[in-house]
Amino acid sequence: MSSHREAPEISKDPVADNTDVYAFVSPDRPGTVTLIANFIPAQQPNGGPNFFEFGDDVLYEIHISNSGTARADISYQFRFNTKIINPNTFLYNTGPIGSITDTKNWNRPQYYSLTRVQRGGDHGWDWDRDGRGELLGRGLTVPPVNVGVRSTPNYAATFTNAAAHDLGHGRRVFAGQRADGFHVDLGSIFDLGVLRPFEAAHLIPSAAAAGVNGVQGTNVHSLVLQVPFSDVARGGKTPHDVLDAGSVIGVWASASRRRSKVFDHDAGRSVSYGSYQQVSRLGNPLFNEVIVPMAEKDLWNSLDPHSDGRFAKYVTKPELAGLLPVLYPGVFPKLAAYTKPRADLQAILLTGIPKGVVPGFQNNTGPVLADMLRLNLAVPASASPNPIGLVAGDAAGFPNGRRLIDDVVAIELRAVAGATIPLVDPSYTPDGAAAVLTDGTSNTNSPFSNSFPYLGTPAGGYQTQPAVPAS
Amino acid sequence: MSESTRRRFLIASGTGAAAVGVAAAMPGVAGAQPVARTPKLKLPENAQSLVAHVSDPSSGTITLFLAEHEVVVHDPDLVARLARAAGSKSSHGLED
Repeated sequence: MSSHREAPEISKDPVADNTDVYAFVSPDRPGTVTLIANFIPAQQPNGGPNFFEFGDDVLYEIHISNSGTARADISYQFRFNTKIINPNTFLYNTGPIGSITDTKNWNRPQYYSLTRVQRGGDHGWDWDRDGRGELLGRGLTVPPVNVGVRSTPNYAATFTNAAAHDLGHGRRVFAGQRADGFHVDLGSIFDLGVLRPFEAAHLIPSAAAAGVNGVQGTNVHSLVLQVPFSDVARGGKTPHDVLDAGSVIGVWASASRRRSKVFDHDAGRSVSYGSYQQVSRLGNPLFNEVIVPMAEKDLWNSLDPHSDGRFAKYVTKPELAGLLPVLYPGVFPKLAAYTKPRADLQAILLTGIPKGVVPGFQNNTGPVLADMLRLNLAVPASASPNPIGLVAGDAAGFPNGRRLIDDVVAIELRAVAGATIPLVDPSYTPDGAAAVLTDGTSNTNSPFSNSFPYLGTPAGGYQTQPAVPAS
Repeated sequence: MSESTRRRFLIASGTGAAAVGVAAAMPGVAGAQPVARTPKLKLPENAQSLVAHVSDPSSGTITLFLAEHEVVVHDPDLVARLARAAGSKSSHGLED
């Protein structure tokens, strides 16, 4: 998946597991950028009575680099705390939850604080130290999960807007459960790289079929933050010139845990000690999932983007590019014969696209090799967004930031298959299949909204249908 | 920290020198005497529960994890006493 369970260690710690990061110019609020970081993958909506929630012992952060260093110049820190209102019941709720403040029936509300830290330099930097931090909000309410039609009736109308908190100075925040907007055919891709629409051409062929969205019906927990450009752009300015290096920001998200955890037998739970250590990270979709070898995925999660030079060799010679000609015999002969380092992928994933490659566009952040989503804030939101994004001529889409509608699986498949090599090596003509590759999926969860927090209403527990039995 | 919790920290540390409870690091506690029989300790007023981590005993360094912070202490003698205490009780010795 994009980054769902993408590394051995974090796959065992879902509460801290990044799944997707998005960054886009807000289509309905020009002059603001929306940053989304999703966590806790593959939530079965009916997972009661202990439904999914953010971790009180996890530090969640969204980072911005705007100075060309690939280090965090701005970090937004989310810290959660959970209350048990009635200690005498096993239930999440003891009646219909009528509002986001209804703690009469809602037994386990969750709250959070949001802090903006400038150049903290490490995770969990004391926000009050050296005056680098600003507390933007505390006691902010997380909406209940979508339990079902009786427990959380009229979920979208009751809870979504109520959980969108205005913080002043043009800032808005939402933290809570949403439908997973990512889509991918998990079952096929991890079955020896099958893409169902093209499986007749696979090494082990079968009849072509439609793609199956492997995250259909599942939820995630989302942090959605909308801030003015001046909050994140270099020098606090509002960028207008696409070709100005100061118009580009790098974005990534992380989750960190305290370094030590001890099980307190008297309390029957674990207690954490020490500073925060990053355990999950995500910038570009699929980077750790598909680019980084399994033996180094946990290490990658613990490092910051400015350390990514050590992984560049996996970008310039990606394993998947070598597999495609093997798995699809005769389909990718030009890719198989291409032996140069993949400068196109390095530009897309590690430096941003420099001036002169795509006319009138750039999202380069300098020479530091770093996996970040790079968003040129001077590119306005597209009136007719194309899910294939920049490759299809829509400069407001991935890999210029990432919108919810961007089909990043198809875009990255095509890029790895060679479709973007001509951007940096005009002598190369891609294989015909490279331009049409897709896993055949689309978003089959709740539709996206045109307004904040944009992600779809989470699937309800009562409404959940069991998956197809194994065969 | 309750006495029973201190004992459990020591029991946990008995599996090796890699991780030890702070109670074991206190003067007079790091020897072979079980914590339950330790006389009153002189502690700072703000003493709080913490975890001491000795990742490499030969370095003589202890990292203390407390609240959201860490304190690194270089005290080879203390590390040696901890290692001796842990080593001498590594299999069964710290059980009541």
